[in-house]
Amino acid sequence: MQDEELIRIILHGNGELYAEIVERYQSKLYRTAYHYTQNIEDARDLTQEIFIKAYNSLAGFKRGSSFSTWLYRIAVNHCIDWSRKKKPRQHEVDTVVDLYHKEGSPEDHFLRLESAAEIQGAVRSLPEIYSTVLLLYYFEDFTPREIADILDTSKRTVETRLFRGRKLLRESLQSRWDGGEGNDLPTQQGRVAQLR
Amino acid sequence: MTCRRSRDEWHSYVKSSLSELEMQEMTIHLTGCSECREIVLDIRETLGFLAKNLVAPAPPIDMKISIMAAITPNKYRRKYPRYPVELKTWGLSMVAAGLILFVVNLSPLAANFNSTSSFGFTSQIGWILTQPFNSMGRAADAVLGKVENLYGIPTKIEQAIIKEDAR
Repeated sequence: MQDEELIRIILHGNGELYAEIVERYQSKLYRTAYHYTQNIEDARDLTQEIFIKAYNSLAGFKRGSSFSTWLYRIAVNHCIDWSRKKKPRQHEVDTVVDLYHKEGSPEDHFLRLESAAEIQGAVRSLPEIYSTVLLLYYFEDFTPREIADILDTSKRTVETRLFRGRKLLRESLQSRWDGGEGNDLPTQQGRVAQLR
Repeated sequence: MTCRRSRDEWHSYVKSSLSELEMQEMTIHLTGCSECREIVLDIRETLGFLAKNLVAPAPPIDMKISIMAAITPNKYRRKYPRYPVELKTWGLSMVAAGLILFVVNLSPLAANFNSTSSFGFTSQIGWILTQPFNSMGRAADAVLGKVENLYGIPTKIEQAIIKEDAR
């Protein structure tokens, strides 16, 4: 059943079906919240608040528009508000370790976590206007059109922010990007050769 | 940056979220522009690089239960479902009320119609209209009389007799 059909039924008084919506989006929204909080407890609280806020605002959802875009608009605004008000707690690598799929040796797993933490840290340290579009485009797989709808801006603005944000991210991760540890990307020379 | 299209919608292009015509047109441009090709390659590499290093913590197992416990499942129960039905019922009720008021207002006129012979047809309508009300009035009097008898309340005639006796 499509999201929009589910919402229609929920608005007809079947609130229990909201569990299905939670089931569909909890992983994605939790990941987004975790990006902002870098803390599993705050991410959990934030995700719950987003779902509750969305449920209480369901009557304002316009039929014909995309539910995921609408939900993410609430989520991103809530996360940005949260990050402006609160300072994130200490990063909890040790606690998070158990939550990921373990592939390869424990050493590989630890390196992967470390690398991921560094990259996420680099994305998060960018100015908010860039980090949000990068998060939505590269991690959450939204198109620039959808990101424009979520952030209530133009597609052209999103393209520009993605362009600048990518350059900034690349600069901040230069060593890792150009053949650093655990990186399979071709070097600049390799890429030029590939283009020829 | 020398190509005027280097800041074009290449991020949309990579996700194939443009129209077929735009996609074709940009693909043709790419074949002859190494600068834009470099940008597209860079976006694709970034996608691959970040996907490879994506950290995806799983939400707590009890997340759904907590959320469902915090919301009011019947929040929308009465607001939306019966709205059109209620509107229809209210509309019909208003029409019925209007008709009753119209009929009630006509009944006093019926007496005037009766008094003049020139309004033969209308007086007949007046009589028909007042007939149910007259019947209802007689029935109500009868019921009231029975109730009064039942509880020993003297009727108007009895009250008059009692008053006469007292003198």
